[in-house]
Amino acid sequence: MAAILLVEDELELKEMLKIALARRSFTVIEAENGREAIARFRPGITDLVITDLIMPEEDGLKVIIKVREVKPSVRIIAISGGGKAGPGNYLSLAKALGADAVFSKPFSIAELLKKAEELLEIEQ
Amino acid sequence: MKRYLKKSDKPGTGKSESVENRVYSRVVDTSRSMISVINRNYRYERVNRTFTRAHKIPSGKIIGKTPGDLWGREAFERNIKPNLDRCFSGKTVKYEASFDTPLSGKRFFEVSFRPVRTAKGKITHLIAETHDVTSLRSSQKATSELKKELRRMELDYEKRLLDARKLEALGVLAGGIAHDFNNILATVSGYTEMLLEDLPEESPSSHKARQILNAVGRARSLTEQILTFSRQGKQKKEVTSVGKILKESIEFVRAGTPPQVIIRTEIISGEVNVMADPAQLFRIFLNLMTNALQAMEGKAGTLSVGLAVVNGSELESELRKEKVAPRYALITFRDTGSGIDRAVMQKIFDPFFTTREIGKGTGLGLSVVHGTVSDMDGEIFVSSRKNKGTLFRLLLPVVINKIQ
Repeated sequence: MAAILLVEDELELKEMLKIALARRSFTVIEAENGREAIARFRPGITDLVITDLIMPEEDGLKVIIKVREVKPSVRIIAISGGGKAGPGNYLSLAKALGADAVFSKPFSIAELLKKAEELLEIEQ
Repeated sequence: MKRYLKKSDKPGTGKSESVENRVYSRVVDTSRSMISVINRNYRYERVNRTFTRAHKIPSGKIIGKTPGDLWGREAFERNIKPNLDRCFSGKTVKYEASFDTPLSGKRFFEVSFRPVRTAKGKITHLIAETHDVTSLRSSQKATSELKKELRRMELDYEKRLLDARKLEALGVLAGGIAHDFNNILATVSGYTEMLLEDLPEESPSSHKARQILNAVGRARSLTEQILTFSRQGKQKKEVTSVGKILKESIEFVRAGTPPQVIIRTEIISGEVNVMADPAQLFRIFLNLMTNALQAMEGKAGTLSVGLAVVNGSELESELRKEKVAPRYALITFRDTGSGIDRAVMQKIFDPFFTTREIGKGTGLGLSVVHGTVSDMDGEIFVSSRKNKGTLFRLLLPVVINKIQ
């Protein structure tokens, strides 16, 4: 089964996402910030990265740049709740940096799962 | 000076006048002050040329007269005589006074009286020097008024700066709150979706879960508004036709306008382009028109919407900007509604200020409008009369080099 690196500093939200992904039988590797995410990323194992953008330590944009560098074929979904620059700006930046899809919080979990499956070419 | 005052030196006895006396006469005549010699009977004994010119009377007709004859009896009794008496008692007297002159209206004078003593110390005469300070006075007054105006502008600027900083801080704070709130909402909606998945379609709990999702949707639109407010200054701007957006928003509003309210439009023909985010511009127009309709509270009334172009040079004093654009699009919204209270007026652009019931409005509308307009280098002005109506005037710089 595909392995997903889930990066989110909001722990309640990370937990919810983990449960939702596990229900679809994904293997979930968790990280609480960008630095942890970069450390836990394994090119041979990780197929998809779902990352928040505004986080302490390294932010999500850094994660996107790093993992793309190490593994160009990795799939990336960026999620953001906006902040000082607003969700639009961060998410469009994430997209420009190479995220395959972007979601603005609060998003529909069903749509996020659908997009994850689509990116990993999983038959539904 | 004493020599100059000797009877023998009087004009008309010029034959015996010494060179020294002629020099004195010359000095006195060319003074810019009116100089006269007044005796104990308050009568002029001598006057200089400035004096005769000011009164347009030859010196011969002044000699022997009293100041009261020239300046008026009332001024003499009230003002001049008491000061002359003080001088005759041995003091040098200086004061400022205004007189109504027959030739040039009310003028201000600096007056001085100096006693002239004989060798034995007896005061027989005084020298009166009167200097017209009207123009000096008025320039001083103008300077002090200018200073006041400058100070007022400074204070106004400081207040604006403070407001801008407050707004910026509030924007950062609001943005942070919205961000955290969106995280919480994402968690709530995620679990609710899973709950919906787990529940059988016909379960009564399904309906409740869907209601939670609806509430999340409403909360989301609120955080979006807050983010729009905090994002001010970071809009994506493009060349936008004001008239087109204005017409679209009017059509949008017209659909929901009660029949007793008339919408009048006066939109100049021809393209008027500004740099704006078209969606934001639409929202601004919508916001101002919705406010206007609410001010009329479903009563009969008129909402007049206008678009015109004005030259920046005509707006310089009003705009108080360092850089004034050559031309501005002037968009006006005038309603015949309830008007805005003076107290309310000062706060209408403040974030979170609302006159609506708690829960009925976020209070972000006009602050977002203000922020968006400022970001477009525009200005928004409001004037209102209680029970007469309100006028919002929006000025946006017109794009000159139209992109082809």
